[in-house]
Amino acid sequence: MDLLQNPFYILNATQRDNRHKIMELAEERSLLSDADKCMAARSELTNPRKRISAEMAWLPGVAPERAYNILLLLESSVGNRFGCDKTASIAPIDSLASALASLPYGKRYNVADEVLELLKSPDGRFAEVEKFLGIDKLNPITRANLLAARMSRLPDYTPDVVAKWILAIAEAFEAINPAEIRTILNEERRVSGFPEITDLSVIETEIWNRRFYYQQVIKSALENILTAKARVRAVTIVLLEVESTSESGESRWPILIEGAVDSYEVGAQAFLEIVEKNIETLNKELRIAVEAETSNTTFASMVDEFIETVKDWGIIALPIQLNKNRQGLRHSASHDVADRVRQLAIHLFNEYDQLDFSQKILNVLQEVFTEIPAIAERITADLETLNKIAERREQQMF
Amino acid sequence: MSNFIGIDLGTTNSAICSYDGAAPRILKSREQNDVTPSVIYFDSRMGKRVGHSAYDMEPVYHENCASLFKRRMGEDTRIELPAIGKTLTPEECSAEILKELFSYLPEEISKSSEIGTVVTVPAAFNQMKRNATRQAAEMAGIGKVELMQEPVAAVMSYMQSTSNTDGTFLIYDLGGGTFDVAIAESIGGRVNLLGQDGIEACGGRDFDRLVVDNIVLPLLHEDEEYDLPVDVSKDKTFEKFLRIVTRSAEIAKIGLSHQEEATITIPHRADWFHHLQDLKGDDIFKEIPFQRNTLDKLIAEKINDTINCARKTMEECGVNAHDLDRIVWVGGPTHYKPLRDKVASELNINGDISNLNPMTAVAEGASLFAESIDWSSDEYKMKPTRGRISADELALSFNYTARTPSDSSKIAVQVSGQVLTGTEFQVESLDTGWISGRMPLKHAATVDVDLTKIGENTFRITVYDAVGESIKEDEIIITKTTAIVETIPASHSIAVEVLDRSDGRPMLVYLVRKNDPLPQEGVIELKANEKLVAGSSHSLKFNLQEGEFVENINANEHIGVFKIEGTDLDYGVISEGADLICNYEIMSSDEIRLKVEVPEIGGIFEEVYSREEGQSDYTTKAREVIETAKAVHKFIEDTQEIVDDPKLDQAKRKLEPAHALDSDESDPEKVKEAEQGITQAQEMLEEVIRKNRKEIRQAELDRELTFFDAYCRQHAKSSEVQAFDNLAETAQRSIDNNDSDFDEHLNEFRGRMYEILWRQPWFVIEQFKQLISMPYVFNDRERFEELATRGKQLLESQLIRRYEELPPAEKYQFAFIDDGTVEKLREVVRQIMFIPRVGGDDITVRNAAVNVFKT
Repeated sequence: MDLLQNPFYILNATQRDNRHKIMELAEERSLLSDADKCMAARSELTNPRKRISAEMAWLPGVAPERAYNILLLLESSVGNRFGCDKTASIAPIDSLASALASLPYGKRYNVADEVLELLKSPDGRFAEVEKFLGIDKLNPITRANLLAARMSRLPDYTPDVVAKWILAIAEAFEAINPAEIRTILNEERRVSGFPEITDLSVIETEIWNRRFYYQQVIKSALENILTAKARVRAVTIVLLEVESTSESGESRWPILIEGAVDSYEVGAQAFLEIVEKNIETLNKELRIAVEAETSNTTFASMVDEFIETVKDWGIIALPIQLNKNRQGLRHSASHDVADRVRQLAIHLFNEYDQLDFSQKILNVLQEVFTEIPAIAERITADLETLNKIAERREQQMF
Repeated sequence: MSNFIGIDLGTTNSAICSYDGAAPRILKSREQNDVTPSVIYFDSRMGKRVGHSAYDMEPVYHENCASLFKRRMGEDTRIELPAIGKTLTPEECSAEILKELFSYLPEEISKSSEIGTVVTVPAAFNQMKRNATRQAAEMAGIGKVELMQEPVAAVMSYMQSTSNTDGTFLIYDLGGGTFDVAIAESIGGRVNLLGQDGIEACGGRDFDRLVVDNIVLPLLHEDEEYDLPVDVSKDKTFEKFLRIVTRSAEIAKIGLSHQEEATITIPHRADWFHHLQDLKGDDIFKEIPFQRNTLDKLIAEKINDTINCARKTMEECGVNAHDLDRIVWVGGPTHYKPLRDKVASELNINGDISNLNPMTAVAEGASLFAESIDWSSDEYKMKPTRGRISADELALSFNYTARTPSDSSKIAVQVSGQVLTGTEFQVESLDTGWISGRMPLKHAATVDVDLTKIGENTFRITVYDAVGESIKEDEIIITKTTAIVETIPASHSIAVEVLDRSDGRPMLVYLVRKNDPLPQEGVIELKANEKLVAGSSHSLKFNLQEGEFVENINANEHIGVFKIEGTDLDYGVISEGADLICNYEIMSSDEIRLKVEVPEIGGIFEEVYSREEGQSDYTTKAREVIETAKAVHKFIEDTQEIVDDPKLDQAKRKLEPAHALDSDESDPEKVKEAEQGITQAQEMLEEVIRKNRKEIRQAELDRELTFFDAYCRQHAKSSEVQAFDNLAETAQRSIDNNDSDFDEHLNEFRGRMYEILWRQPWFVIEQFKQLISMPYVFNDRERFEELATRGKQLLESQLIRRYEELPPAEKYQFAFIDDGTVEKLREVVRQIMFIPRVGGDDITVRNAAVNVFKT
């Protein structure tokens, strides 16, 4: 659930409104905007169990007025791709900014003020991404919700920017603590008169739902990156950052990073299939060419083309291989490709004594599949054998 | 439409109520009673008596009578009438009751086309039973009918009787055959049902049986004066005896509602003219004193079941006892004060003291609910609560609350373009003459209007231009209702079972989750997994499942199928892989409507639900129930090895009726009761597993890790060890995060270990020996024997004899250069594993049944 689709937002309700107030708001709003949507929002907010989804997808712990105004600004975002309710009158951003300036601030320091400052900018556009990411005083779920909502509305989806947002959301998600969320929600429920949450497992379930939502946002951001190679870059930046910051001995990545690579894998699937077909075609052509005793120069350039294609495969597949390897899972496509390329190398040597080409292909294979130990082990053994043969031949020559 | 009818089609008693928009009116039976017993007597010429007279005759003329058929609705079980040599379906019997109730209506109403009827069903009813009830209504020919859950009707009635009291209530509806519970919240007459649940077979009728089985029969057996069969219920010649005794127990039980002590008189006065005789032919007459505390002890477990069901519903709704204002009592057995006291005290919620009549509340509420349905719409949808009149030429509309239980309503102006300066509008009540006065016409301007009467209130809206000329005039009607049920929750989760891919495993795609607000609609995109030729006897189908089992999805109830049959196609072929676009709607009554579009042939298929595949005949289901109970018992014991929870012992006790069942038991009541016990046991088990999921998963993971360390690690390659350790960490994280992919990781583990073990000679040899020790599991015995013989010859080889001579501890280290013997044996084992097994496994059977998959 995106922040702008949240029932609190639809009804202009706060976490502290009681049942009567919510019913009233629903009545009023339904006369001027989508009645079914308002009724559904009312139903969700007045049902103690279903309300948890809305509460956790909102900005828990942020004072109601601030929360609502943050959302209004978010809605005016230049990159907003969500169909907002046009019948609901939304004030223009500049007048909102001045309205916000006159809001009576609470005595308690509220980090949401900082968020508001960052959301505002003189020309009505949003402040720089970097600054936004710099906010670190929000509780983790609020931060994750806000980042996810903003990430859905980025003006540009460049690999470096997307990578930073993915890392920030993943970090926020890792810090989410169910007991802390329960405390925050119950504080608000005591004011609104809704039953307090006792069962921690319902919070845990909802965190799982939030995780699914964040993954969707990340997936969508990756899809917004225009080229496959740029997507690889985004994911690679993420992985390098995770690897460099993870503590020694810690072999797992943050859950959302694993999820991001899973999403990347789905997106890369079609591309990998095309490259795999190209590898297969070149594989067949090389076998025909070697049998037809094609000239060495021509054959060498064909091998080079084949090697480049295998490398292309490797570049795209690397994040997936790393992810699978970390999880102890098998990336079947990598195993299939490695097996076929290895067979070609063996074929070239066994049947046609093309030791150099065979070694060249196996070297590339070892480089491309270095993250898959089972393949790497086998290729190393193959190369050792070929190297011994090469050495023996050299000795014989002398 | 001005005639709204509500019918409470009960297990033991039914009632009918009419509502004219002003006040509900219970229609009395021919004997001038508010309720009509749901009993039918058929004479030899198929003449019928329905209601009280049939009820009076039933103990003696039981072979002519149909009763308790509501419990058999949606089943394959037939209602036998041996005296007239006929059998009826439960739906036919229910239709007779509906016809009888309808006959109480004044002719000007019953013959009117302006009539809409709501028939209630228990919240605990599944889709098959709801479907069967609709069929019964169609058979009865009572015109436009919609179904509604009993708790919804009860809430409507309660709101009417208390003039829309605000608060949160627990509806405790214990009838003759079923128990329903609902949590409702009312604010200003607007009611939200937060959740509902129920127990399908738990009611007054079960209490009667408990009294007979535990008090009456033991005392008669103890009495040396009488000679009775050891098991009276199994002796057909004592069926009349048993029914008369049950009636006596029922009358005494009802007597305890008004007094501390009653007497079970056998036979009761009404049956005195029928002599009851024992095996010797001696007359039986006995009076048994019966006190409230005896009854309380007998029904304690049943009442505890209802209390637990109520607690579960409260938990699911996220409310505690102190959030609930009172318990609303519905149903005959709630007349019994000790029962009310116990429930109120256990739940720690005050009982209601309003004047709601527990016997007629559901019928009254149903008639009130009937008023809120738009009977002119195709699918009897709820009347809209919002109204709108547009004035396109002025680029504006007036939006208003069209139905409300409040004393006032709002009219709002919505402007979509430019309004000329000076334009004004005015609202006028055509009922009272009240005028709002002219107000500037602008976006979001609102007017509050008073609603002075229940029913329709008419207002005129006039728009004036800058010079005060009327440029637009229109009328709107705002209906003031007794109460509005704004949210009705789904009483069960409903899912379709499809394959996750063409060659995949079954998976559930949920159409609705329990307590989701109704109605719901959506689209599922599926693909045909085999072709369907026009006119063929094949069909494309996907199973329909109902229930809340997540850990053990097989425990959900199979409630029929959606199917497109070859005979549904006039011509052409739906090819394998063709798109099937399933548009579904779950109605407020919890019923499912489905429409399947097949773009390939441009066809649309409606009415594709068939309940027959899910129906059971409980007169022949005992053996299956017994076997299921054994499997569940085993599952509970396995869980007890990991988790120490008293609920597991309770779950085992719930299986006792099934364990005590004879495999040829044909009493559907007993078999159904046993099956219900299994469901309750599975629910308890599910709860324990859910609460201890981490602990259980951890035990499973530890077991696999120990096995790996003991038997595999030493044989694994370093890359395999690394992958296994990573996988272990992934699985551990799944446990920590409560992820759903844990089982996949566990299966991956097992697969990896098998790969390593498969390379080990000792494993191949032991695997072969294990397979040949169970020849009975293989379908193709000839093929099995052939392979077993070949394998046994290999076991005689010198190499394997050397292995066999090793001490057990050294066998796992057995290493040698294979001369081909082990490789040959490996192939034999592989071939044996390919032989299909008796009964197949679940997946094979299910895959055969489901032939559509998810895209």
